Amino acid sequence: MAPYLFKRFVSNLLALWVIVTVTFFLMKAIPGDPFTQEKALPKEILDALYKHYKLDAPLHEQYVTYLKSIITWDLGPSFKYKARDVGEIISSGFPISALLGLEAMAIALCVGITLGAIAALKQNLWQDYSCMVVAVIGISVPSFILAAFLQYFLSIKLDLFPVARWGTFQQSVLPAISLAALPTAFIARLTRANMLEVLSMDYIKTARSKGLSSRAVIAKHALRNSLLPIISYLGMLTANILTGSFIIEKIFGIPGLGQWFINSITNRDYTVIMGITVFYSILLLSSIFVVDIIYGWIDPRIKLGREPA
Amino acid sequence: MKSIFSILFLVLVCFSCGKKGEEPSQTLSLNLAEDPDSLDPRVVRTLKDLTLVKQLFDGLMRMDQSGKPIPAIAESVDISEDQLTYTFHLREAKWTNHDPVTAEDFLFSWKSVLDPHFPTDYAHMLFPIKNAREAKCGKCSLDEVGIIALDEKTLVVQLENPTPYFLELVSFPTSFPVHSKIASQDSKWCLPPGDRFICNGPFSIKKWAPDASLELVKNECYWEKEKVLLPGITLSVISDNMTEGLLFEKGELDWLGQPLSNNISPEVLGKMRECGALNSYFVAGTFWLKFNTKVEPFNNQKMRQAFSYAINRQNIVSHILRGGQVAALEVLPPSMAIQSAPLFEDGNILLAQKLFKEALEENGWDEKTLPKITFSYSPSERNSKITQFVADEWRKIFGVEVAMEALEFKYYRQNCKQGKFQVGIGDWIADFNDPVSFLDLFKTKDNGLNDSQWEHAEYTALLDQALHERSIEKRKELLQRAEKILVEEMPVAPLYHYSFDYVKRGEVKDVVLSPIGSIDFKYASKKA
Repeated sequence: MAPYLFKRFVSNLLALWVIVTVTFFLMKAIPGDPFTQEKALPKEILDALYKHYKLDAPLHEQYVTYLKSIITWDLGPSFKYKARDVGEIISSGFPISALLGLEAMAIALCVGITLGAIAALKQNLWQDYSCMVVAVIGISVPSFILAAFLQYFLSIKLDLFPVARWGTFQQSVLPAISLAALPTAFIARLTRANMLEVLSMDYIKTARSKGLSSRAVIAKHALRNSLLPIISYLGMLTANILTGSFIIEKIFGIPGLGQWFINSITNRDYTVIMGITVFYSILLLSSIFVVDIIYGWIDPRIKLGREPA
Repeated sequence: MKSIFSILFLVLVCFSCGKKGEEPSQTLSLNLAEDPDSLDPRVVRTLKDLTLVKQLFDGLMRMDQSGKPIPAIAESVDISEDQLTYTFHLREAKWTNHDPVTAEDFLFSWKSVLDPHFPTDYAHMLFPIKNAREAKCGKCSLDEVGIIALDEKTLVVQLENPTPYFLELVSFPTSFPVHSKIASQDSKWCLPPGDRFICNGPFSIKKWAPDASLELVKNECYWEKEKVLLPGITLSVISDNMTEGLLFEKGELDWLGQPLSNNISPEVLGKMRECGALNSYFVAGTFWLKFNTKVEPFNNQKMRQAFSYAINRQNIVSHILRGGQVAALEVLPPSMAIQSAPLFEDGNILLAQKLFKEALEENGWDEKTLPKITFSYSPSERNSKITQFVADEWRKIFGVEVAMEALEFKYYRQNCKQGKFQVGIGDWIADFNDPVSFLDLFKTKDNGLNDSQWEHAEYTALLDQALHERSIEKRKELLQRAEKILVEEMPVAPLYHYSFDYVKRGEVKDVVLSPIGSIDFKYASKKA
């Protein structure tokens, strides 16, 4: 196991370096810079700014400076938000996005697996059709439409939840539901498909013929085995959902990390772009890594680090 | 006897209650479209941040309700006869930590703005000061800049040239003071959560939760605190204008619209316009089309005139914008207008067609050999509608092909700067309410703001003359002539003058709206 872990660690590091390098040069290739703005600046002022931020240095020097700042995790202040440090932006925004993401993930897992299981067990009955209609709606309605819809009916018309802002549990309900809709639907469909496959397996028939109660068969054998693909989906979902959603955070006025992915690029906020990219990559690479390990633990057929026989 | 006293007492109580009837003002609830970039007055640059900083700081002067600078931290000012030396006598004012505001504080912050190593966008606001431009370019030392603190309460400023709007410049945030000791020792004094923030204005920071909210409270150390009625201002940060509209509808916000928050969403705008609740105020800004005077076909003056005269501006204002904007038949906005009559006629199609033909002949083109016209812009709801309308008029009136080129904002700006465009959109909002804030943009072709790359010897000479002119009347005459040349030459075709739309709750009163777009809540109140 240890050599496998080491190999994975090194290859992740390599992947990270590739990501940082590609991002850096792509970022520099986008026309415009942090100081290109609506109100153009006089030349004297621009020159002083370029000099201060060392943007007048040759590209390879800037690249080396960036690599150094990433290794020491001292990315400095944002170009646009001079009062904010990149490290501080991430450390204050991420917990909020992550909390909201976890809430959404919990909803997605509970509701998604339940819907999927019901649909599979009642295949081609009205329960199946209604669960799958819900799933199709969840996949096809964009989150911002759902968010606006929830805001209008549940906050303005029925006055059940606050319209926006962040801080209390009530304020997190609507954004969590909007965020959860798509993964819920996806998980429901995955569960249904896998469960149908598993239910037709021989070992289920064996279990039934042994005289096990139908509940035990479903809980111990069918459900457990049909959850495997969901776990690999969760790896991707975790990194995605924990780092927040631009549109949902914008609509509900949530001070999370999601908005920075888009805003930093439109602002050409170089330090923030790099910081966010590195942070997201680390999160994505490690969550995939963790999922791989969990996979081996759940499914004994997968042996990590061993040459295939 | 006892009962008489008690009756008297009751009467007294009632009397005092009646007199006391004035209810205290409530906290104001506003929205910010995004977190402030910074709250250090020396570095702020967006209208939103400039507005915020004006609530937190007081400069030598402050704009009154009519947009004129009145003494603030300066109790009085002496101006020398040659208009080159300003002596400011400071009043007894305090920072939020009870230290006195001194001339040294002004000296420190102005010199840091002019320091070539200090990153700030608005240093040019101090360039009228002697040697300021040279110092910022590193050509002379900061000690040679014409600012002297004679004693703790006297600040002497020497100018390069007579600058009739100088008092307006010292009411602009770039020239506000910061606490010299704190700012030089504590590099984090102006960062969130704002517990170390030191200011000298009507309000101070209670709590700054980045991206979520900014809470301001009345500054009890402020020198004119009796004029400040609001106990505080709570600003939330919500960037979605639909959500903002819902919050206003629910009564959680007191004000919608620029400069603090977003453009009002079309849904809310429509609703508010119908019930007559939509307000607007003029802002010293002009939206225009800019022609690249270095590329065909707009290197020809008649071609530029033809394309400009053909546009019906009134249609844009009344059918597309539908706010308080006015059609622009001159470059300078109403608050600084110097012409007695419009400089050209709106939508003069016959003249436009005549000029177009003449321009074709002059260059030996016909409808087919005319270089293809590309109209560049950065798409937004407003920009897309205006450019489509204008391009359509050109197609109809001249029978030419117009290709549309929509580019991402910064990409577009960079292309304009590098001269990679034929005709595009642009605008300017003045930082101070004087004609030169606009006219100087076109003074030379290499000043970085003049995308049209237009230069005109007589125009430059007139502006130079105006720079040294001491008589207000003569100066105005020179500037009038300059604007006439600018409009005659048409490197930019003015379309309309700006106004900001806003909606507010009826209880909110006495908010000062300044012609440069910022708003001031110093005298404001909110009473149920």
